[in-house]
Amino acid sequence: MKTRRLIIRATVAVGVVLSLMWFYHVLRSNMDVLTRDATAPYGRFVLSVRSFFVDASDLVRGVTRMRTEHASLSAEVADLRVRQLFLEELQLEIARLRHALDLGYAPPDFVCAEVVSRGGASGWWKTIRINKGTKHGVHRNRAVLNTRGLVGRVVSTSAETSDVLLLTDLNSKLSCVIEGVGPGTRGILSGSGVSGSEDSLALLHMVEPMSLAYLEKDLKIEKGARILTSGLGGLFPAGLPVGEVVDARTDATGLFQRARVAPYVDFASLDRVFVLVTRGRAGIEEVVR
Amino acid sequence: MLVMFVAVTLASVLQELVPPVSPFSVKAPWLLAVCVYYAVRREWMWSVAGAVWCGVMQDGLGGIPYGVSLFVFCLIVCVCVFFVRKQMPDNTVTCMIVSVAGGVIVETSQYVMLLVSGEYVALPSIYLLGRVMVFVALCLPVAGVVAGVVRLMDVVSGNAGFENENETFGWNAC
Repeated sequence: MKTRRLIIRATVAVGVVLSLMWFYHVLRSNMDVLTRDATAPYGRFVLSVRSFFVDASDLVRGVTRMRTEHASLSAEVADLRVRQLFLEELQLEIARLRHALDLGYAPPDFVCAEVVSRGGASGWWKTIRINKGTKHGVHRNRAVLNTRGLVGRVVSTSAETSDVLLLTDLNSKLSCVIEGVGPGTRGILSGSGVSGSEDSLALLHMVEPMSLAYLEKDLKIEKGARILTSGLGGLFPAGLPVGEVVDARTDATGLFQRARVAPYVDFASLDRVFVLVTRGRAGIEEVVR
Repeated sequence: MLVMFVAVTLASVLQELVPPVSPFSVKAPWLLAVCVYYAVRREWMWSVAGAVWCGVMQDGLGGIPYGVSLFVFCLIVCVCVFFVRKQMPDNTVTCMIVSVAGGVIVETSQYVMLLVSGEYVALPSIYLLGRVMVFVALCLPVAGVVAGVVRLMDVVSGNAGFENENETFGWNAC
């Protein structure tokens, strides 16, 4: 009798699991969005609590220091406003000229976002979750930057949040160029450069240099050379700063060089980022007008 | 149901917001711990419900191919219902031991499925081993804390009680 009951229970359990797996298949595209949006309010709450305590600790640390900081920031804002005036003029000119040549021009536009969490829920990917989603104009494959350089790209979005794959992730691949070296400097930048042939102890380092592969074998690469996005593939605009060369050597095949690249961005202390969103056709026409 | 809702929601938020542990970027297994608690210490229906709920949240929040965590969590429930409960005492230590075994299965199966689905690059075996070790090390304290807290909530809300003086917090106490 007991065995029979156990068999019935096991059958019911298997039935439930199988039907849920079928539901999973049906709801595949919506499940992650649903779960993420369900936890988004808690993330916002934690973010606001954290901001409150950071503000409070700043206040406690000293009004004098804040006043000095305020003065220097005010001067910097004034300086940047003047520069922006010139840049806006240049942007208009570029837009007009490109429009005249029928090349099209989408002026860059940014959405500022705060980092809600790191690593997702599984920790398999080096990602951050930001508090802006499709509702705010953030979509997949948009470049994400901070004031130092490129942070990564948006890999998934929901209405309220977006996940950003960091440049240092193993699965991140990006076409880059070395500034000022000449032709043939284009390579593929990947995160951390883990492979069986490399020293596995390097994996224990918290900041792992990225790897720029498929560089021409005879190219002379100097330490400290700047790495910028190439603009190939159309996802990222060209010229976004990524990092600088640490060293370079011939790779295992002997056909190319591989350079180790130190990122400009301090990924451990990311708290605010900017998502590059384009305004689209309406934006172009607005600028041209 | 309310206790389970609170436990799963809290675990989801913690799973999401607590930063990963260096050097292998491992997240503390809060949802696994909740699933193991229900698998070890509550009636089988609640165990299945907890496994399904935690599995859905884990897959949805973690970007894992759908069904992997759900399947593994349900497997843990089956093992607990048919074997663990008959062989081991019903207490927090059992939860910790089961969560360690479950952690190894969860981490390995997630990696295999990510690799098979082409969503992840092949890792050196030492890296994978290191990741599993850190994950297992995190399972022990997290499972202990979660089992203690959720049990307390169950007892306070009347879902479970003292079975007798010698065996505290029996899963079939009520």
